[in-house]
Amino acid sequence: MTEGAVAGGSNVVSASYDASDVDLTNCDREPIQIPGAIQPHGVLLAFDPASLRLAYVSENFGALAGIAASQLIGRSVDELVNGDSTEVLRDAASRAIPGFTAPVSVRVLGETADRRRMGMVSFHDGMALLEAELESDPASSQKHSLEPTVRKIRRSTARIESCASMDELYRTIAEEVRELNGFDRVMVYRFLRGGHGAVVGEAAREGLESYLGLHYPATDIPQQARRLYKLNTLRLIADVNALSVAIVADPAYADRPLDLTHSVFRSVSPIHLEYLRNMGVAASMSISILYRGELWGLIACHHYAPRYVPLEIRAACELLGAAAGSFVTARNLAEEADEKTVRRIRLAEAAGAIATGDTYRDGIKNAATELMIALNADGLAICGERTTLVGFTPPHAAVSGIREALLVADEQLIAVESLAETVEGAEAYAEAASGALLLRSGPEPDDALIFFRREYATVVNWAGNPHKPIEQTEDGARLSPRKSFATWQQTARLRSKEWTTTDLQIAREMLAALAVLSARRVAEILRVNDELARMNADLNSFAFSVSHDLKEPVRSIHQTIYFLEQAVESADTAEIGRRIDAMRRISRQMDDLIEAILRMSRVGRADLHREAVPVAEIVQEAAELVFGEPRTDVQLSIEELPTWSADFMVLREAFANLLQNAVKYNDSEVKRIRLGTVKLDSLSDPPEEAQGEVAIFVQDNGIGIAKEHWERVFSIFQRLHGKAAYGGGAGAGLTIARKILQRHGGALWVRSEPGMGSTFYLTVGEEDDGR
Amino acid sequence: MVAEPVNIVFLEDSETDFELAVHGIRGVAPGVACRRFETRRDLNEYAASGPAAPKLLVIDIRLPDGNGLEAIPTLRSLKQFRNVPIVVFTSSANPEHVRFAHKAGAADYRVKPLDVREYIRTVQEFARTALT
Repeated sequence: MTEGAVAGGSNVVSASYDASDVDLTNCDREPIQIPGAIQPHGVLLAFDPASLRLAYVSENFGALAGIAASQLIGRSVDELVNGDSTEVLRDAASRAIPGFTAPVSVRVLGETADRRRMGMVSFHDGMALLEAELESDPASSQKHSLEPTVRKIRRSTARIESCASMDELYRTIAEEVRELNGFDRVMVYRFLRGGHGAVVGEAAREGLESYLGLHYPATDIPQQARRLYKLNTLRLIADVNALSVAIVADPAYADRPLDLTHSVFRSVSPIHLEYLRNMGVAASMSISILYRGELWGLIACHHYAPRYVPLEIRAACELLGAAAGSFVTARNLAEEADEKTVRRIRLAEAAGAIATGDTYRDGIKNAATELMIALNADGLAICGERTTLVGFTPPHAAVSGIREALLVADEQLIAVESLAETVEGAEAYAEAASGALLLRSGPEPDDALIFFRREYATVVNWAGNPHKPIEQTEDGARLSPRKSFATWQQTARLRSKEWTTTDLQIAREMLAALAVLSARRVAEILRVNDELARMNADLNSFAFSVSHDLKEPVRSIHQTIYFLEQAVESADTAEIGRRIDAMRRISRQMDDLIEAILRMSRVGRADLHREAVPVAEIVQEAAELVFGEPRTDVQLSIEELPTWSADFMVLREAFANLLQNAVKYNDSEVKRIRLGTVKLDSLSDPPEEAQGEVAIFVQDNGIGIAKEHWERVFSIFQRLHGKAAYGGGAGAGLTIARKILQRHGGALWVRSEPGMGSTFYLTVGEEDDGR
Repeated sequence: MVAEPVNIVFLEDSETDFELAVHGIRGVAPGVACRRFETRRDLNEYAASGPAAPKLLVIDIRLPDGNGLEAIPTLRSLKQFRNVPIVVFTSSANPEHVRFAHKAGAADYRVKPLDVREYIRTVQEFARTALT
């Protein structure tokens, strides 16, 4: 497209190199830096910087000086040119700094004393090169004409600097360069990863078709051309149809063709000329944009008629190119950083969505779009027990195969640009998904997220769009953007846009974020599981207990009816009366049980209305409920009790149950109950659930509980004694009381010894417990 | 209350359950003596006093002072109870209990039927097996 496959003197016979050997297949190997010829709009002299002895000269210099070029070899450069150049030449030559380029103004031997030609001196590979303009515009050589050029550059850089967006920046650079050199079309061309490139900015004469956004395959600008662009930042092909001028060499250098790497007038590769001609381009100029010594892009200029650009305009363009380059690269760095920031914000948003999803998987589904944007992906497969597809992806049936193929290693992150190379049959869905990036992430080891990218050839606006008619030249369509596209298709089909280091970095960050989120989920799941298991165990034992404890009286009723029937049959009235009494007793038992179950479930489900309540007040009320009028056989002493954050009514039930048990399981004549506080750390073995500093104790002088039954007394419907002993009862009081303290985030436990009374300890916590 | 040798020992806290079981056993083996203990503690005390070996032990699981199944190992450790067949007779159908019962060496595990006639039939079945 641009100044791609450069140089090569196909139109001259050169002793050093025969360019006719060059064809498309060896384009990358064509030694374009030693074409043995230059373009006809300048003259070239190459000499030994120490002796100033001429070693090579372009044939047209001979014509200028009126002496056959071959006759000039071996003479001192001093004799051939003079003017300001002499000093500069001697000075520069004495230092011979490689790569050094100095502008000179020279008078050529045989020309009039007032005829000055602009030129450049450079040094490369032990040789000094002096190149002078042939078609120098007389007006431009006058000092004052440089003034507007300098002003133009200043204005241009100011305009470039003020651009708000990258698109505007690229366009402005193209406009400003076009303003300077007047070419029909000026493009800012950017090299992308993998060597191909795209037109990112353009200024063109009205009526021309825009090339903006077109991509060009890497093969359009071969490696060695790119090297030259780096070394020689400005290149002009004034007329693609002009005949090259051969370089005559000192026979002593016959085996050493002149290296024209730094030459301004180096002739053009026939391949490139053909390429330009196929596009209808008659003149071309390119200015390299370098970033950290690497070729970032080009300012490529096309003109549809021959166009010579005088040296100072070239210099101005070069200067503008350098300035533009620094703007572009600085802005690109900022843009990259911005882009990374923007993508990180997307990732953070995704993480938020994942964290708030009902499940980890739901969260991922909610966040799918954000995750895809964060990775510049076109599609996503969420692989777990089921697979969910979002955006452009392979068909459902293919996804598990892809996962298997990519999951082979222990890697957490695998990125491929061509699924067709990894997975069988991937060609079938390549348009939708050619690239894949797998993150091993999720609760299960083989859970994964697979991000997909579409085939690059499908999504990119390639130059030489295949839908456009083939551009015919006399060679057919041998070398044209259309051809370039076909070339590209062979090498770049079935591939996605590359996963860049930024992509991979974001992917790793995503992996870490997902790990945290999924770990949090796992912890949450474990916690919920534990809770469920506990609740289930509770429920199971509860269900078994309840079914047992409810079945028992029901069975007793059946049995009593059976005995009643027999008593009726034998007319045993005493027996009948006994059985009827039994029936009443069993019914009461059932009522108790059902009442207890209802209270249990109420305690388990009710919302607590916690407020600061003096526990002494609760105890007083509970005592009134349990004992009614003060009883002479009960001695209740309440020491100083704290104020607790608790649900008054609910906690009162717990104390009522404790007080009831304290007198129920008590054979003493005077049943003594003492309440007070004790520091938790003064107790020898408080249970783990007991938190805080103090516990309230409820101590009685009852029958006591053997250590083996300390826990059993809290089981539902558990009675340590025969049914009728100690006033019966359902055996749910302590179960309910413990549940109440647990709901308050606290604990209830007992320490006792048979015959020595029992002490129950109560604590509450800050937070309610789950139900 | 009991002077004659005891043939079947019950660990059972429900009075009517015991009464109906005895009623059923008398139907197939009129001469059999039955004795009931309401708690593990009572049974342990009795077993430790060195009585003659019974023909059968019928054990309920849910007892005031704990799980009847846990009484089995203690009983098995006593010489005269070592070879006595044990039938777990309970309202619990909890598979955990069934597994534990078999592990502890119970000869049979029967769930108490709600229906009286079926209850009697069940008792008669395991009593007959033990007594013949």
